[in-house]
Amino acid sequence: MKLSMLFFAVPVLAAVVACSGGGDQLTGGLDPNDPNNPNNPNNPNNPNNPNNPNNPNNPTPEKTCSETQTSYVGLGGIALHGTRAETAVGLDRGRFKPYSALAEEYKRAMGLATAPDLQASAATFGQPPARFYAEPKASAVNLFEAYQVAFKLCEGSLTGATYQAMPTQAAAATECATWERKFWSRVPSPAEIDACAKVAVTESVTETISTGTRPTTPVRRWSYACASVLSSAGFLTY
Amino acid sequence: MSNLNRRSFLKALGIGAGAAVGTRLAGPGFLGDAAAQSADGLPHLLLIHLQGGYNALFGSADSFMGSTFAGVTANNVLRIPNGGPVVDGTFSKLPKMATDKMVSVGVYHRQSAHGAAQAGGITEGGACFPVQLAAAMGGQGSIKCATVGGGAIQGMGGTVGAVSIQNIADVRSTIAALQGNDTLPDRGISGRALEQSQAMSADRLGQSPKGLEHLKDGYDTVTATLKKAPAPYAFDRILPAYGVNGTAVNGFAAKIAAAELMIRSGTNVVMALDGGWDSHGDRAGTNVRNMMASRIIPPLATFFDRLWVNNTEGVQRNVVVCIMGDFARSAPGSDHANGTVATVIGQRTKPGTTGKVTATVGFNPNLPSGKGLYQMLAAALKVQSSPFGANTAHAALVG
Repeated sequence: MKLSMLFFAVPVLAAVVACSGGGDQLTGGLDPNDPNNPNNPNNPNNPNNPNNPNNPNNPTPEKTCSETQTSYVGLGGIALHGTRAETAVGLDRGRFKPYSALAEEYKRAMGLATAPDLQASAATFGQPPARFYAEPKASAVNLFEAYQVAFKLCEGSLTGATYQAMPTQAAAATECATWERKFWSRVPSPAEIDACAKVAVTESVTETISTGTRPTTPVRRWSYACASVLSSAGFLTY
Repeated sequence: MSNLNRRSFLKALGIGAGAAVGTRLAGPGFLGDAAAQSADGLPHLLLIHLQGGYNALFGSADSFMGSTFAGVTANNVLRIPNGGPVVDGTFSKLPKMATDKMVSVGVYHRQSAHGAAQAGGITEGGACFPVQLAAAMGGQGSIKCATVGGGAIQGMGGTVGAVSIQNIADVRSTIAALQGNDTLPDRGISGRALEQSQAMSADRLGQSPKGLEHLKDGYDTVTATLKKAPAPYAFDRILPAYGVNGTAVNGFAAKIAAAELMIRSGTNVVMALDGGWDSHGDRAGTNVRNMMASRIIPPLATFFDRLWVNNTEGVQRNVVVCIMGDFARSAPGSDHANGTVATVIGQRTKPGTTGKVTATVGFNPNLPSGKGLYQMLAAALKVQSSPFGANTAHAALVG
């Protein structure tokens, strides 16, 4: 063999040797679809299988009510919990704020010096009789009332120079983000900021009155947007 | 925050209502509802539920004639002409036009516990009949099913299509939503802003699909309401007609006034609940007659007068009124019977009764439960596609 041929053959052979393992060597020597392949994500014993209860990355599902409750059998031999509704844990915990909390909530969220007088809205918000409790519920009418109350509060408190100028998209996004953070006690998403800004920038340009239409003043446009944040679930529920 | 007092709101209301009637209401018909219009007029149902019970002496008085129970005599009954039922004399204070159309409908739900009996009158398999009916009636009203003055009975709730029960707790804020006025935030902008409020609420509503279902329904309904043209009726005239002062809906007269308001604004089904009818020991029926005569009949007479006899609105309406309770009262102690006798008055009702009980308040075993009543009500309202099926058990009561 010529020396030149040897120089050529060595790397080729080396490459052939390097690549001459079993076809499934990189997958542990097994067919990736083989159910016994421990790397097959469908292998029930694969710890990474999301359906494997021992998967360390698989968060333990919270136990349902029926899995945690204590059984009590009544005198008639019927389980007292037999008709208890079963539902996912953590869902459906939202509740509507009661009338009794609203005035202080408006004061807290808006930084008012005193709580607003909402007595005229008591019936609409479903104030229960003295010594009674009624779980408050939203309705079309009390949401409209909430919006009106919020609008008046916003209109009365938006006094800075910002609110004397017509809202622009940028200014509205800034103000909306500030309100939402303050009123909801959390950071808003971009979509939530956009929803509020839309009210100020595009939805409130012209008001309709008994004699026709009129351009909405800057402070009222800001107030419409501010009230929309105070009328959302982020403020009205807990 | 100095403007939110009752006086300013009432003042605003007066100005707004006047302005509304005078100038701004030429828009497309909030009430001119072709979809639900029939030859009889727009259909509406007022349901009056007497919580605790509805003594059968009211709808089946002749069952107790000469009995020691219920204190019925020839002098305190009213015989509805043309084969109608013999009912309690307190109904004679209603306009004759209404009493001539009075029928008694037997509801045999076989339940003698309050909650189960309430549910037996308005539900089957979890479906709430008033909501189903309101949804089936269609129409243009944005609030299709309402309860006036709050309260609840078992089985009341749920959503059918986009229809759910909306509580009307205050007339002022309701009128503001229906009509608006120049001193309030613009209705149209408010509606669009509340749409954005709902969009901002998406996450939280998604986390509580059942717990905050009422909030989602509320957003849907208020935004639909505010998209409508202002309602063309001088609603401020309603409360004085019922002698109601203040706008909170907290007495029976105020509830019936609010019911008229909602009916004129296009609501299909209005529920008015009245408590205090669990009349144990009222063997002669004295207490329930007094409550009926003093609390229920006067505003109801006004209601019939304004909507049936002297309706100047210019809109033809087919208003049906149904009075019922959890169950009748059993003899002799005025305790719990296991069915009830509903009183129904409608333009299409035909004098008669399916609710005649025995002297011991026993019911015809072949009578259906609440579903049969709603089959009959749907027929009286001329609902095109009744979700309850044909009115067979009470067919003779609808002409």
